Amino acid sequence: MSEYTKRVYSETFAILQLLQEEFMNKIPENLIEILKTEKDDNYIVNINPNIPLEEQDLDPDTISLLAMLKVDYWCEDENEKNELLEIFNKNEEEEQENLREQYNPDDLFKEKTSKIEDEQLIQYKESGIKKFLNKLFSFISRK
Amino acid sequence: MEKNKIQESIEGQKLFSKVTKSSVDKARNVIQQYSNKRQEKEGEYK
Repeated sequence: MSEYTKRVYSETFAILQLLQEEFMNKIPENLIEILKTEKDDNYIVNINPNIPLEEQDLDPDTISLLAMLKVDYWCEDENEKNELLEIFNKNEEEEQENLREQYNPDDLFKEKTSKIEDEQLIQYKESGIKKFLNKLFSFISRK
Repeated sequence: MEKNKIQESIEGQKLFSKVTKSSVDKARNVIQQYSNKRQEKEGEYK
C-alpha cells in the first residue's frame, strides 16, 4: 500500500472517530480493520470537530473514501443514495468533458493542419511576389 | 456523543458535491483489493 493511501486512511480513520458510534457500527468490521491497521500512525491529522469538513483542507481521496462509505453504508434510504450517485455521475461527465476539451486529439490535429495550411499560404504568397518581381524586372530590362 | 460539525458534513451533501463516480469506484476497489489480499493471506496461515 502506498504512503499516500496510508495517509488518506489516517485522515479517514480520524474522521470516523469523531462520528457517533452508530456510523462506525454500520461499516463492516474488516473495512475498519483495514483502515486501522494500514493507516500511517506517524502522520499527524488535524481535523477540527467545530469546523465543517468541506471547509477543512482534506485530501480529495479522503472525501472520495467518505463518499464511498456514505453511499455504501450511511445513506438513510434509496432516494438519498440515488441523489448522491447522480451528483457523482454528473461530476464524472463534466470532468471527462473537460479532459476531452483539454486533450482532444481532433483539436490537436486541427491545430497542426491549420499550421501547415498557414505555411502553405505563406509559401504561395511568397511565390506570387516572386513572379510579380520577375515580371517587373523582365519588363524593365526589356526597356 | 453530541452531533458535531463533522457529523453534519457527513449527513449533508455539500462535502460530496465535487466527488466523481470514478474516484468513489477507485476508493472502493483499493479497499476491496486489499481485503482480498488479506483474506488470501489468512487462508495461507490456516
